Amino acid sequence: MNHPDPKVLDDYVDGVLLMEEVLALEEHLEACAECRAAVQARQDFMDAVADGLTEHLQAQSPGPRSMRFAPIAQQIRHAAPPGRRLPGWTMRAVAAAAVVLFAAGAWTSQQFQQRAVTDGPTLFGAGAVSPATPPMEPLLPDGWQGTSSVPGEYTMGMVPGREGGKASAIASAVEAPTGFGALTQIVSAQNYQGQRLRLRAHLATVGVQGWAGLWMRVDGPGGEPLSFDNMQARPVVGSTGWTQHDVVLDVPPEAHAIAFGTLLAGSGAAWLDDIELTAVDQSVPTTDSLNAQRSLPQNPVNLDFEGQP
Amino acid sequence: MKDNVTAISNHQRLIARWKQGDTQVAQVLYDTHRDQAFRLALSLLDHQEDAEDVAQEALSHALLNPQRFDPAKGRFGTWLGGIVVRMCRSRRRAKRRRERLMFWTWGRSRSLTPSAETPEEATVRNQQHSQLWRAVQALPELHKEAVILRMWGGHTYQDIAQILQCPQRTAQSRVRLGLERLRLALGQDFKPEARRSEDLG
Repeated sequence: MNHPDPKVLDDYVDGVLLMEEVLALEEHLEACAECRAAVQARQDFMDAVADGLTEHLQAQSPGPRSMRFAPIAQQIRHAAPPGRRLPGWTMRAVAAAAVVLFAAGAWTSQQFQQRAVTDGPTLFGAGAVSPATPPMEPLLPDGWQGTSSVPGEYTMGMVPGREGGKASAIASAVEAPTGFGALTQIVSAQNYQGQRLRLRAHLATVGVQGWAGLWMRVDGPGGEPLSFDNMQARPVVGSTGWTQHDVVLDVPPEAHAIAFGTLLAGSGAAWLDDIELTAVDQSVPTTDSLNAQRSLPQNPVNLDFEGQP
Repeated sequence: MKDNVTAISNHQRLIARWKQGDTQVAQVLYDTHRDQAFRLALSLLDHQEDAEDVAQEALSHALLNPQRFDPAKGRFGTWLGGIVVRMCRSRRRAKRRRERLMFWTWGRSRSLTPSAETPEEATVRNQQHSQLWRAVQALPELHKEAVILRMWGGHTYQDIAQILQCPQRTAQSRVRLGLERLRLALGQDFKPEARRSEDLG
């Protein structure tokens, strides 16, 4: 006897088999106990999956105050045409954004400001920043490495600095990058062992639609991370003027290397300038996101339940 | 039969009034679809807060853009489902990118837990969730979407094709392959377990 393909049985049980195939199959099933059992087993399995999913999901609901119509009602009442209003313009943001259109070169900050006033509102159009023309000399600064997690999505280069001179930058080179770009330097931890180290730097972002941040990592002798922060919990987004950020980590005595830099995820550009790596005292809190997750109390408390709430 | 016809034309009138800017109808649509939009997002993201966020964003986007809904192409719920699925995919991509970024900046020697949860939360979550749920969550994204829409949502393949924006045959084969993987993971004789008191920790 010719048994039908398992795919045919699947389609039959799922109700998608074509009518003439259904008739042929049912003829076969009348005569074949083995295939009848296989069909029944598939039916039972599909019912089990459907029932199990339904039982699980229908018992779930959004939290009591988490999904409400009111904010939507408000937006309907105040509906503006899409794309007309742009959030939070500041003069510095406009000035920083203005640079996107200019090739790297001889613009003074005064000229930036003037351009910004006239060009500001037109720069962003419908809200998307075109990264197509990186506003930079495509150069990697001495001593730094540049990485694009998906090759070709990001470029590194030099841009006008915060107070004259130069700054380094990461910019997206495609419209919708799926990876991230990073600028990195790795040094020996020798000069910093046993100290609390602060990475202080200035970041400016241009139309960042994902996020940007500073990052630092302290590695042990086996290459394992001892402490780490990449500002993921306090990301920089959008277009900001130059702002200062700190990452503070302890460097244990056995530390071997320190890696640090800046990163950008998504489209836009992130500029980095005026970095300081300095030892600070214990009064400065660390921003370690690795060990934050592990900060459990050393000892149990209130084991006789007599303690005050 | 007559009731069905009346119901359908009432619904059409409702949609027409919504498209004219009737806020009360928008509220009716919101209340009607809120929980199911949340459940769909939850089934795809397996995270309460993320699912609430995405479902609310999807409803917001849908209700603020009546001009984008074409009643001739299908029902409001189906259109909304498509928005939820796309937003879930986008959120998962962003989460994966954050995780890769964490991994890269952290150091290649370690594997990661997802950033949204502490290890303690993950353990509790796994204990409470059934074997079936975990097996479904472990499916590749495309199969998972199709299996959930068909097995939980009970949608026709025409609707699933609209929601997933793929041909019907593709939707059928994703469901079939997804179920095959589930059969391998759970065993052919799988039955949904009743919740035992030990499982609640």
